[in-house]
Amino acid sequence: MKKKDMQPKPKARRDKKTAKARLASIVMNGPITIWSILFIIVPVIILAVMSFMSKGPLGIVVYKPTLENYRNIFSSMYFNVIKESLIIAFWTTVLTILIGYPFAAIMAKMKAKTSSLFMILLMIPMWVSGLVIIYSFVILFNQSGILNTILMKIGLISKPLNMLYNHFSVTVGMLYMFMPFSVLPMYSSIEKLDPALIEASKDLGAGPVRTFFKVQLPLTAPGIFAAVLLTFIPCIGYYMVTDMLGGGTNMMIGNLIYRQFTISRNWPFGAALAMVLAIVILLMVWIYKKVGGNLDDLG
Amino acid sequence: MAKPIVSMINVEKWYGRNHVIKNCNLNIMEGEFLTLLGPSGCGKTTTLRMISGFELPTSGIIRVEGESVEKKEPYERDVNTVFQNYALFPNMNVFDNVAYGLKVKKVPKDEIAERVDKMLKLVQLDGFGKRRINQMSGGQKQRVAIARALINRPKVLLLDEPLGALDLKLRKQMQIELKRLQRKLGITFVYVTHDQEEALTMSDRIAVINEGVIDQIDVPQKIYNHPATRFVAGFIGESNILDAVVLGKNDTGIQVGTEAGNAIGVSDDETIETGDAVSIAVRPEDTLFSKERQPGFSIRGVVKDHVFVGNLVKMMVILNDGTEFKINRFNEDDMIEPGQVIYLYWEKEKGKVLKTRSLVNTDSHRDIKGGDEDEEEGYAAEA
Ligand SMILES: Nc1ncnc2c1ncn2[C@@H]1O[C@H](COP(=O)(O)OP(=O)(O)OP(=O)(O)O)[C@@H](O)[C@H]1O
Ligand SMILES: [Mg+2]
Repeated sequence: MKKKDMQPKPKARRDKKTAKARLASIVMNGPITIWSILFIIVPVIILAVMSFMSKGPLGIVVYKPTLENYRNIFSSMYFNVIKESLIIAFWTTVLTILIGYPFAAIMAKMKAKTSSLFMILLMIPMWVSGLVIIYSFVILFNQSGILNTILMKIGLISKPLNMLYNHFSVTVGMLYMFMPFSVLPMYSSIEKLDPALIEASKDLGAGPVRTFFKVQLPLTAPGIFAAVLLTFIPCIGYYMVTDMLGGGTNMMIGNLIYRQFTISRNWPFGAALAMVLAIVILLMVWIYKKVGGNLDDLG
Repeated sequence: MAKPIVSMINVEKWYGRNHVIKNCNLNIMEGEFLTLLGPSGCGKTTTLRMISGFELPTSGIIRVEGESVEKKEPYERDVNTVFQNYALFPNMNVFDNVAYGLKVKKVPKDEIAERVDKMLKLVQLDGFGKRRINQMSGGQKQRVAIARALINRPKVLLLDEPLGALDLKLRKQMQIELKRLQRKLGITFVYVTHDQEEALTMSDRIAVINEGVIDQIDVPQKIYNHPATRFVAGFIGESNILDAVVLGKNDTGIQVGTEAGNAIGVSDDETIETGDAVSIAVRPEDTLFSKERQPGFSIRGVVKDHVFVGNLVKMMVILNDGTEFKINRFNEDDMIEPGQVIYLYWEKEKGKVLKTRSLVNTDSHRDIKGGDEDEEEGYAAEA
């Protein structure tokens, strides 16, 4: 090996380099490939197979092929849960975008120092345990909670408001949890926008409103699409907020799936639900790609 | 005579503690091609942006057609800009880019179509309307940017280094085209560049800016042949500039003494008196030399080397005090072998005596020129 190194043959050296590069790429990509086969592809296949099996007594999976699970999903009760979680996910997404976009735009205009401070504040829900945060909402929204106490003290209301265990509390909780996922992609696309384009629009006589709708919005749309995906998708499957702030009245698909695997012990049905959710998500990602989104923006 | 269409009166601009524009008084005449010329960071873009409304002057007045505009938003001003990197809207095709200003003004659809077509023809982009911006070459984008601005028939068109990103050949071609457009439409052009050659060939008048101060504003010939300051002499064309003291002044010229010897020159500045600290500037092609001393001159030097650059021979002479002095000739036979001692002189009209107004480092323009070339290469590679 060493002898070969000494020979100054350019061609041999180049061959060695590609061999080296290939080795490097195997070393680099190999573990990831193995990891994704083991922990992503294999489980998905197991789940897919399981979704076509039947449930035996005591929650045992019986290997008898059936379409029963998929038929069940479209029965009214379960379908209602799906509808409900889509509605909650929809409103959460709409609200995070409407609140997040101006927030991102303001942050993009700040000096680097200030904007990074806001970035850290924004990231808090990503770092702190979701459980702790959601529980603090319970304290806040309780009948005798902080918010009700304050509102009654200043005389804005006479009776405590029902803020917990309804759509309101669920949406606020979701909003808080998903705001960073919404703001970050929008921030990055607004920041990338060349300020000269905004100036060019104004230079040509367009006021701020027109400039926003004709130039800024279309050019930052990929960031908005990414924000929609990053909020909507995890929101459908996120069960912690609905569990604690929804009081069991509001269920997300995530809750439903979670129950099939725990309380109801109907694994094949849970698997079928998970498959449907996965297909919906893939469909959305596919649409995102179709409208010209960049998958890298999704992180 | 033409009347001023833009007037800047006692305009000052500070960025924090950075004094960027210092007491700017500038009248831009109707229909003229005025170039703001100066090294990087001297305040050219800032001046343009104050006219277009993207920057507010710290103090002073800006008038467009006699009307004070400081309080007007950019979209309320009758001036348009061609931005340095085009700033075309990538979400629209060529037609929509050019039509943008007219749509804002709610011009009827068929009139828009007609005017855009005409404008695209004028900038030689006939039939490119449906193209997307990212399918256009650098030169084509430049034309779209110009068309997009000109279609609004602005009173003044501001151009911030519009050709900076183009390669040399395309640049020359666009210079001619821009000049043609400006003559044809009769619109006032305020053009920013740090390329002196571009400024000299295109402009009706040039304002040479030095660290936020307009050192001189005049027609190109005057700027070249009668620089008002040491900075202008050093920045426009090549010059040998020596620090000097006025020894005497009479009908035959101004006698000055430098560290390397005595010389004679002239000055447009009548306030120069004996004893003043001045500079004397002489162009390499105007410098003469001989084996003997010439009356009034005593600058002596040793020939270092000569280099042949295309149609020109450049000779470098080291003066007594160590200064390098450049001499240009068209013919190699006119040159002297390295190592020889020669005396330098010139026709007294060729030696410009300039009052040392400010402490300007005249060498700095060379660095900037070097930087320019790099930039050009970079852009060419990109294109
Ligand atoms: N927004 C700003 N904030 C602070 N300083 C600025 C700002 N814009 C420009 N400056 C400073 O003002 C000075 C003049 O800048 P300007 O952009 O006008 O230069 P320029 O002559 O256009 O140079 P160039 O040829 O490099 O474009 C520079 O020193 C620059 O650093
Ligand atoms: Mg500039």
